Amino acid sequence: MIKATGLRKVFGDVVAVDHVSFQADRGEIFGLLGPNGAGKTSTLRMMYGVFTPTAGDVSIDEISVRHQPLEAQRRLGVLPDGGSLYKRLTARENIRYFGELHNMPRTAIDTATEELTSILGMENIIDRRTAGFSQGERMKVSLARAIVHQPDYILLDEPTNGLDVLTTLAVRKLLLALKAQGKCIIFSSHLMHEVANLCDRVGIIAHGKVTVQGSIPEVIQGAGSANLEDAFVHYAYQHERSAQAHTLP
Amino acid sequence: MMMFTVILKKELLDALRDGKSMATAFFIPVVFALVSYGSTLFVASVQKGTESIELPVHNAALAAPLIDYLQEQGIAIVPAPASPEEAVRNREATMVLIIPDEFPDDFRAQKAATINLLSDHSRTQSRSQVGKVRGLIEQWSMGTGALRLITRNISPGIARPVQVNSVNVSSDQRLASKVLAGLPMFILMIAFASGIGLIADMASGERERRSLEPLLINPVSHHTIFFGKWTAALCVTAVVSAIGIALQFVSIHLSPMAELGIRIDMGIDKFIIIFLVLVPVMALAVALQLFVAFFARSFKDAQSYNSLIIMLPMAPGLYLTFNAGSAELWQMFVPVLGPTAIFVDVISGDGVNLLYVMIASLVSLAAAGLCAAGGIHLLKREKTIFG
Repeated sequence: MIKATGLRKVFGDVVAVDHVSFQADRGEIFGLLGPNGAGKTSTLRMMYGVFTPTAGDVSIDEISVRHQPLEAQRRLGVLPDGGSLYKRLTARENIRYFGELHNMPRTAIDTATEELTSILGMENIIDRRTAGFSQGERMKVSLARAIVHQPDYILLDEPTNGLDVLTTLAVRKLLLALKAQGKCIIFSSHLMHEVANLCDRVGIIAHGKVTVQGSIPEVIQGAGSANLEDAFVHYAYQHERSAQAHTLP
Repeated sequence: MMMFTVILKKELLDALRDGKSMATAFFIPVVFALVSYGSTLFVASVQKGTESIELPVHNAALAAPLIDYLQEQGIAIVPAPASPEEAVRNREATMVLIIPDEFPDDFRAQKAATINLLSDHSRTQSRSQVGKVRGLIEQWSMGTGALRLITRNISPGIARPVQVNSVNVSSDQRLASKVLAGLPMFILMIAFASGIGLIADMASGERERRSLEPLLINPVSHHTIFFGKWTAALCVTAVVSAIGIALQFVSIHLSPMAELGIRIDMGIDKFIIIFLVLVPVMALAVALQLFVAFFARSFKDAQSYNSLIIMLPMAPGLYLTFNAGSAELWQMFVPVLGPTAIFVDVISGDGVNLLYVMIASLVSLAAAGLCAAGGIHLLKREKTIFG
């Protein structure tokens, strides 16, 4: 189980994340939703250990990210927002490097790379240097490199952003396969149809706070709306509206 | 250890494929070798100029013993131009020696016979040549005077209460090191310059391309990442520096030092000593540049800061050029200055003081350690990762 407890992150005067708590278990896909600038990326960065929380902690199978970052990172596979590849290395070398950084034996890396190449349809690019790759190609390689070591917990920040339909379908298929293998996947997105298609449970973040979390039917029902999109608008902006309501005469 | 090798291997592969950084790295030693060769060539041409002096003489036949003496001393005697003063003024001749018509009579009468040496005092280049000719004439005059005194049974010492003997104690190697004054500085600058493009790329370039965050998510400690990068940069710097020092040696061997009568002994033993003394300096140079590159806000900033760091060895280099002498103990405690002083001694053929080498190396390594600690600290900062 991956568990965020009371996460708070402050940059100067700005509170980016404010007492965020949620948890996700193996065999489920958890969607972290929120408008741009809501604090999704900062929350994920604290979860994978590159941001130190101002308060709170994250534990992965009872291992504290704050106190044992390397132990926790061994269990994680992460696709960070906007992370890029090494342009002078081939796709295969990029993937191999991350496999080696997770201390995988060479044969295991090769097998996993072959498998991911076929699932994500990277046969024609796998031995090309990544300079000049399209966004979709870069995303496939980044995703493959994030999960080559077969981690139990997978954190994906906007994984389907800017991908064409075919690639999106391939990624979706991969995530469902990983879930079936008993992996826990947390991904952030602001694309509602993506979330509705994939997630078992969601949490909506607005202004650094979690305004609601639960299964998709629960969230829709809680908002009294017809679909997830309306529910999202309700929960993502209610905070703002209620703040405005308080300032109204 | 395992992770360290993984990072080292990847950084080396990445660096070797970075054509631009590699070209810069190998370009600098070549330029420095050419500069070294050019400057020795220049020194040689200046020195040679003083050796073959052409002296136009008017009425040479009237002072045959003097002219013979001058010729013996290697001065080429040529006939004087028609109007000597004008020729000197118009720079057609450096100087002209004029023997007046009355010279033989005065000389024979043992009166002080006058001769005129025309030259242009405002021309600095000709001063040494004129000085040499004047010195030779005076020597001949003294010698002749002494002979005359002896024929009168008077000791020549009476006419010369003081005689200055100038004794040149400098060894060939010291003289050579004077000519090669820039060499220690060049060697240090190569150590500082070789990694510059590469280091900016692996630190601030890594962040700017946004590949630093994915790297740091892996279960690898910050110091392993730093030392992996540091070692990769050190390997490249060591190879480039070895080539750089070798090129300097080659340029010295090709230079016309032998024609100056200067014997320069720059063998493989000196090459190895210089390289070994340079290794801790490279460690410092690379750590300092990595620290600066992680500190810099952008790749461009990192490159401009690091090109300022290349200037660092110039300070001790210039200091030692003007304060030539053997290395002193206190110098070993100043980073960069110590190794430069050791190089001056090695090139001069004065031998190496092992204690000095140890102190200077420890000082370099300690400074490198400080820079590395600073760099690792920077790598942990969220600001460094995300700019």
